[in-house]
Amino acid sequence: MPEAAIVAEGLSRTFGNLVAVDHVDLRVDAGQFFGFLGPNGAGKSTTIRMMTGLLAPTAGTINLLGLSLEGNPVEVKRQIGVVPEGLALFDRLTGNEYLNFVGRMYGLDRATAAQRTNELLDFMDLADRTKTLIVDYSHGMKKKLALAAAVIHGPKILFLDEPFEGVDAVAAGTLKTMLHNMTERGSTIFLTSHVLEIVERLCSHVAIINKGRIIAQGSLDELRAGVAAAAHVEGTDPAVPGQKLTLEEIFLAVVGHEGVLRKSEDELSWLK
Amino acid sequence: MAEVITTSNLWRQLSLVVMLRWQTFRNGMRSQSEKMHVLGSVALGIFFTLLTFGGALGIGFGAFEIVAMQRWIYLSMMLWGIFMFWQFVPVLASQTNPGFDGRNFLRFPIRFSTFFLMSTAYGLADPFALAGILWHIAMGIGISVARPDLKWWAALALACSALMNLLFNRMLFAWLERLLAKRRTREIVTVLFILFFVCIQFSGLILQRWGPAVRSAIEESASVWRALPPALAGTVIEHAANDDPSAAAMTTGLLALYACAFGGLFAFRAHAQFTGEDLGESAAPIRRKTVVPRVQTSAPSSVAATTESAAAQRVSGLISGPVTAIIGKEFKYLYRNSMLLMNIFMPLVLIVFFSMTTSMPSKHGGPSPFSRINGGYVYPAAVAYLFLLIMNFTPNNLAYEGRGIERYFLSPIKFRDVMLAKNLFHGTLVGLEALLVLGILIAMGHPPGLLIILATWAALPFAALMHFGVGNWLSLQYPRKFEFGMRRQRPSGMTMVISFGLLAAVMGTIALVGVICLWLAGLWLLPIAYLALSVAAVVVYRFMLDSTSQQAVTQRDALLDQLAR
Repeated sequence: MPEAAIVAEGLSRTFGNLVAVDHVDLRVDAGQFFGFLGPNGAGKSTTIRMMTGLLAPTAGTINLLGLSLEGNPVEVKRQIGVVPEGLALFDRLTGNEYLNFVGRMYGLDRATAAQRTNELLDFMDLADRTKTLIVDYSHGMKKKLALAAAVIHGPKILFLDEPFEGVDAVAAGTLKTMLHNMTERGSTIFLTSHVLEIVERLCSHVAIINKGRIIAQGSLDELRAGVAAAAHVEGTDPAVPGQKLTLEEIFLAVVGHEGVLRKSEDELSWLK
Repeated sequence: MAEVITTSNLWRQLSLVVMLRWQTFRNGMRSQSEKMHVLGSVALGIFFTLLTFGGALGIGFGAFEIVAMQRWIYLSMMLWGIFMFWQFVPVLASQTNPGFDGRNFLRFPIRFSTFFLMSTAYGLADPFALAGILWHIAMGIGISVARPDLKWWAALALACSALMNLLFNRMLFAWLERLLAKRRTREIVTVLFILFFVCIQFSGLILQRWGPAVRSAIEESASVWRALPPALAGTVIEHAANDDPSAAAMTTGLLALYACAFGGLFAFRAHAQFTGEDLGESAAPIRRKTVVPRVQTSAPSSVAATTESAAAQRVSGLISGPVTAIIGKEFKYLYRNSMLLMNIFMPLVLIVFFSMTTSMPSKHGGPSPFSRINGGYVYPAAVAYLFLLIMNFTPNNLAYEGRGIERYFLSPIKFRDVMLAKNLFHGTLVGLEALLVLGILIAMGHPPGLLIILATWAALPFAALMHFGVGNWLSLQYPRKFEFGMRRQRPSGMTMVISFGLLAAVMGTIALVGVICLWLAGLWLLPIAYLALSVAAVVVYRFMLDSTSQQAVTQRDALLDQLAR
C-alpha cells in the first residue's frame, strides 16, 4: 500500500449551529494529484483551512506525512505549501520582498531565498514588476505570486484553493505543467476548483463533498464505475452512449442524487 | 410576466437605512471582541459626553457674560472656535463613526434627493457634530437668558449657523474623500498634515515672541473674519442687539446663502457619486515584454520536492531567520506608511522645539517656563514623550498585516516569534530615538547628567517590556484592522481603555519609585531601583510572550476574521 500523505479522520467543524464539515474521512497517497470538489458552501475551503492550520477542527484528527498537525504544527507546516482562499499576501511589500520574506520564514538562508525568488519571479512572468507593490498587482498576478510563495521552500504537499481562478490561459498552462512535474517528482497536490475540466485533466483522484460530508471518493475510473452502477440500478444512464462519463457528468450525477439540483421546470413565481 | 417596482417612498428608504445600520451593529455584536469594543466605546463615550457637557456649560456662561458686557467680538470668536472644532478635529483626530459610502446604495431604486438627504443626515451621526450642535444650543440659552429680547434672533441665527456647519462638514468630507481616493494622493496629503502639525507646534513659539502683535492683528482684521460664515451668527445677534433688524435679517440671509453654497458644493460631489463615479484604485497596467516562447517547461529547481535541512533553518546569531525576516518586513512597512513615520519623526522635531523654548525668554520677560524645569530632567521628559508616541502602535501591532496575517499561521513558526520580532522592532526604535534625543540635547547645549541618563535607560526597559507584554495580549485579544496612510482609524475601545490604564500604572510606578528614591537617598539610587524594576519586567514579559502562541491559536478565528477581511 502506498505511503499516505494526507489522512483526515472524523474531521468536523461547526460554527454555532451550522455544521460546515461533518465527520470527513480522507486519505490522499503520496504523489497523488487530488481534486476536492463540491458545490458552493459544501465545506471545501473549511476543510482545506483545517488541514493547513488556519482553522481548528471541532473534532477529528489530521495527519500529514505521518505527523499529527495538532501535535507537530511547526514540523508539519515546514513540509507543506498553501495557496489559501485569501492568498495571505502582505500587500505593501513588492513581489520580490514578499518571496524573500516567505523563504526566510520557512528557514531558507538569505542567498537561497534570493536565488529562488529570482527564479520564481522569472518563471511566473513577474520579473518585470519586482519594484511594484503587491497592492498594485492585478488579481491574476497576486494569484501567481501566492503560488510562487507556496512552492519556494520545496513543499512535499501543496494545498491549492482555487489556484486557477483569475489566472490567464497562458499562465495557467505554465502552472499546470509545474504542478504536473511536482507530482512526477513525488509531491502531493490537494486542489479545489470549480473548473471541472481542469480537475479532470490534472487529477488522478477526486473526492466530492456536499453539505459537509464526503459523498464520493476515489480515482476517476472508480467514480465512473460507481455512477454507472447506481444508474443501472435506478434505470437511468447519464452518459452519452459509447462515451466515457466526464467529471462534470459524474459531479452532477453524484450531487444531483443528494437532491441539490433543481428541476428544469422550476421557476421563480414572479418571473413567470 | 415579470413586474418592475417603480415607486419608492423617501421615509421608507430612510427607515430601511436605519434598520440596515441597526442590523449591522446587532450582527457585529455576535463576537466577544465586538462586545468588548462597544464596552470600551461606551466608557470613552461617557468621558467625551462629560467633556461636551462641560464645554456646553462654559459656552453658555461665556455667551451670557459676553452679551451682558456687549463684547460682541468675543461672540464671533466663540463661534469660530466651535467651527474649528466641528470641522477640523474629526479630520485631524480619529473619530468614532464609520465612513458613509453612499455608493453601496446605488444599486437600489433611490432618487438623488433621497441619496443627498441620507448623505447629509449621516453627518449628524458624528459625535463632533452632536457636540457642535449642543454648544450652539448652549450659546443660544446663554444669550436668551442675558437678553430675552434677542431669543428669536439668536435661535434663527444659531440654527442657520449649525446648518451651515453641518453642510460645510459634509462638503469637506466629500471633497476630502475625492482628494484622498488615490493612494499616492493620500500619502502626499498625510505628509502635508504632518507639516501642519509641526506648524501648530511652532505657533506657540510665535505667540510667545510676537503675542501682542498677533493679538492686535486679529483685532484689526476683525471686520474681515467676522464677515466670514463661521462668525456671521454673532454679527446677526449684534445687529439685533443694536436695534437694526434689517441688517440682522440681511446677515441671516447671507449666512443662509453660505449654507446653500456649501450644500450645493456637497450636492455636486454627491451627484457625481450618485451617477456612478468610481474612485477605486485599479491595478497598475502590466508593461508588456517582448514575448519569447518559453522553452523550459519544467518547474524551477526551487520547487524540487525537498525541504531544507534542520541546520539550514537555523541562522547564526542571537535571533532566528524568521524573526529577522519579520523585523525586516516591519522596517519596510514603516517607511511605506506615512502615519507610522510621522510617529517616529514627530518626537524629534518636538524635542528640538522644546529645547528652543528653554532658551527663549517668556512673554513677561523672565526666563521661559521650560527653563524652570531642572535642565537635567528635560532628557527623561523627552524620552517619555517619544516613548508615548512610538508605543501608540504596540497595543494593536497586527493592525497593518491585512491578509498577511494568514501567512504567520501558515508558516512553520510559533506566534511567540512574530510578537518577539515586533517587540524587538519597536524596542530598537525607542532605543535609537532615545540615543538621538541625547545627541540633540548635547548638540544644543543641554547635556543631561550621567545619573539622569543612567536612570532613564534603566527605566526604559521596564516601561517598554510592560507595554510589549500587555500590548501583545491586547493585539491578539482585540485586533483592529488599519489601512495604510489613513487617519480616521482607531483601535478597539477596550484596547484604548486598558492602554490608558497601563500607561497610568507604568508612569505612576516610575514616578512613585523616583520620588521615594529621591526622598530616601538621592539621585544615585534611581538607576539601581529602575534596573530592579526592569529585571522584574523581563520575567513578566517572558511569561506573557510565551503565552502568546497559545493565545494566538485560541484567537485564530477572531484574528483572521478581523484582520484578513
